[in-house]
Amino acid sequence: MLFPTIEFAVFFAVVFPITWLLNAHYTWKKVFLVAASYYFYAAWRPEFTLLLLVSSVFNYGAALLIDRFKGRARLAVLWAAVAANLGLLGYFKYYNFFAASLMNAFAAFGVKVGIGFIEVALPIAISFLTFHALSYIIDVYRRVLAPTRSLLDIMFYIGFFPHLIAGPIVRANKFLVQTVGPRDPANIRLGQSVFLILGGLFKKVVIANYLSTGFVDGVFRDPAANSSLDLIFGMYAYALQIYCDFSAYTDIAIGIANLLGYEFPQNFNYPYRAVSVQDFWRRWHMSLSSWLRDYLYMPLGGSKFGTLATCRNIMITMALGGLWHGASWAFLIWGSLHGLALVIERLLGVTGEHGAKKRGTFATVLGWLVTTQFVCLAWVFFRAPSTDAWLGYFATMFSGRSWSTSMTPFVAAICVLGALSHILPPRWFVTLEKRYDEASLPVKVLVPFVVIYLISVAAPAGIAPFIYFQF
Amino acid sequence: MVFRSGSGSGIGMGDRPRRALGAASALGAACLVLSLLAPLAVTPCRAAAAAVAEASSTIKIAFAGDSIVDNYWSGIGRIVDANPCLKNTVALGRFAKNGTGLTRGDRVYWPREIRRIDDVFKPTLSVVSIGLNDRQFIVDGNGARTAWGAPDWTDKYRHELDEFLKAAIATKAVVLMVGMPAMREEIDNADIAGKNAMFAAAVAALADPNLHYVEPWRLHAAGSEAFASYGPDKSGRLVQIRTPDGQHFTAAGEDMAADYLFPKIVQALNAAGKNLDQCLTKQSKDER
Repeated sequence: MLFPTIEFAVFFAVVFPITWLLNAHYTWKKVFLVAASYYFYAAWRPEFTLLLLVSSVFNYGAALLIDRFKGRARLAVLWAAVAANLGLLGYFKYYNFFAASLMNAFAAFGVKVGIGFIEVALPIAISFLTFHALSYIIDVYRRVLAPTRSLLDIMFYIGFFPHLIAGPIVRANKFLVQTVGPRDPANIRLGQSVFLILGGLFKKVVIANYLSTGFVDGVFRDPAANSSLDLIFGMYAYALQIYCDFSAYTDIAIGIANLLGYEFPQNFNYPYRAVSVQDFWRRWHMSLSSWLRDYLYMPLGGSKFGTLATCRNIMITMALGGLWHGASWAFLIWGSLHGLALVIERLLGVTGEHGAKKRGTFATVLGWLVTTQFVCLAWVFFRAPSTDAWLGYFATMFSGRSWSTSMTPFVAAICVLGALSHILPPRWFVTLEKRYDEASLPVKVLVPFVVIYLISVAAPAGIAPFIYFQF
Repeated sequence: MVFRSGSGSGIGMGDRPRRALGAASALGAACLVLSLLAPLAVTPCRAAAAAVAEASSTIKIAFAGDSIVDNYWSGIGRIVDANPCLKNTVALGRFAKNGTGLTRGDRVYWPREIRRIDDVFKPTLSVVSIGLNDRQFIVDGNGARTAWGAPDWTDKYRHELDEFLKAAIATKAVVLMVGMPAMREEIDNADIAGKNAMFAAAVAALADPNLHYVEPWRLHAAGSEAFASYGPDKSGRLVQIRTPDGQHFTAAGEDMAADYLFPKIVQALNAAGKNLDQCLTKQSKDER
């Protein structure tokens, strides 16, 4: 069940009023929301709701055990629970990739090794689900959070449908406190939620979909067959597409959660305004980058043990962060490139709060320019379907072979619309939300209907899944 | 339910709601402009097709159907791009509509859509793959619903298929109806086997010289076909050929499927008097 579909609209039209009718009976409300979330997940594959259930029960029990033990036993239980969670992820998502890589490596030396492949469906959103579960048990281990005695709360935290499929990654300590009592309707930021949802629909259904089908897919299909100019445009168009696609999903998720009375963390903050790669990761998929910082980079030692160890920790974190996106060398390269850029920035001392304050206008503009070009170039690895494709992409783009373009004025207009999402001042959106909050009820009801109708008219036919669904 | 904001109530629209509506309509206005521009939207391949279409000798191939046909469009596209002669002779049109099929006429009614494709693109040949999303209730072109699993579901589906194929034939283009390849899930495969048999029977029953059923691509030429997400490429390296959803092709898989499908396209074009021999090497002709 995708967000921009009639099916989801009907689903939410049922869930929304019932959730608030049950607000005073919050245990029943949670039971209802868990049931609704499992129904939402079952829309793809009913049998994988069992995985959701097993993950919830297992991590619920693991957290209670961690809390019961002290010292080494406590650490041992944590490691066992982390290994079980990552083992499940590895089995479903990475086994075939590593098996094929191993067989190819042996074959390169003339040794034939037969490792069988496994043909099981990849449970949708297993990466997000695993990171939610790990957040809970690690926070319990660190005593940031007391383990909940309520299995229902854990089922709710791991399975809550707005974040279930593609995030944002909500921390257990931030979410579980919201499950202890009725939610206050006065805390709903209606204008913000409605515009997050409507803006998200517009970004995904109109901008991302048209960019994808109208230009980007054609350019990336066979990069070597395109002109240099088309490849340059294609690179920037994809940067806009992936932003409009992914930020749309999390915007809608945050808006929906807020309409149901729950707070999710911000996930994007004008990422293409970043003036350094470190700044980019503070603005792009913020819930993932902070997760990687807190649960991978810091346990590795962070920046506590000297420059060399810090660089190593950055590289490990970013390479694994890249691999988290998918079982392919391209994602590993993409993550490693970002790691390398972060290391270079650190060695040059161009990052950090101190550096940002000292930076003048010229350095800021230069930082933005270099960062944007780097991020967009790195996206080619993320999008190119094969090694040959990204090799061909860069070889052709830098060859200056031809400067003609097949980009139509329509696609160019869509690119401008996508870019506007970064150019328009944030205060405009705040004003828009405020005006909506102040409007009468009929206007409040009318605006979403009219905008959704116009989006549906403007959208290309068919349903394109969100890019981050595969992760 | 009480929301935080409470002002602006009343039947008449005061300044605030008027401003709110005006401001909120900014997004709507953008949609409206886009909706007006949408018919002008052309994909690069269609733009390229339009440019190449100036020459009367251009062979135009439309790819129509669900998301699987996008995989064929990509794979065939790379074959065409790699051959300068084919690139100057063949124009590809991408008309896949993700998530659609023959069951949901309320979303995209394919008999109408195939006529629209003919109007805008005038294909010489259409590669069609459809049915991936059709394990569900049917809404026909008039909006009548038939529940999934109802006793008359298969008859209704066959009727929708006939309507579609007749509309496709009426375009005068050569039509290749490609069967669906093996999928990971048994439930999908059982469904696909039934649908592929239905497609083959419907094509045979219509007995139109321009309409052909093409058996789906198989990883192994002989023996029973089983789904495999990894397989050897031309150099023997193991590569991922199917996407994690267990249905679609990766780029490597697209190339494999295209290598299988392209000779069928050439053959069907030859039979229709459109020869691509001048662009094909001796080896590719032998393979055909």
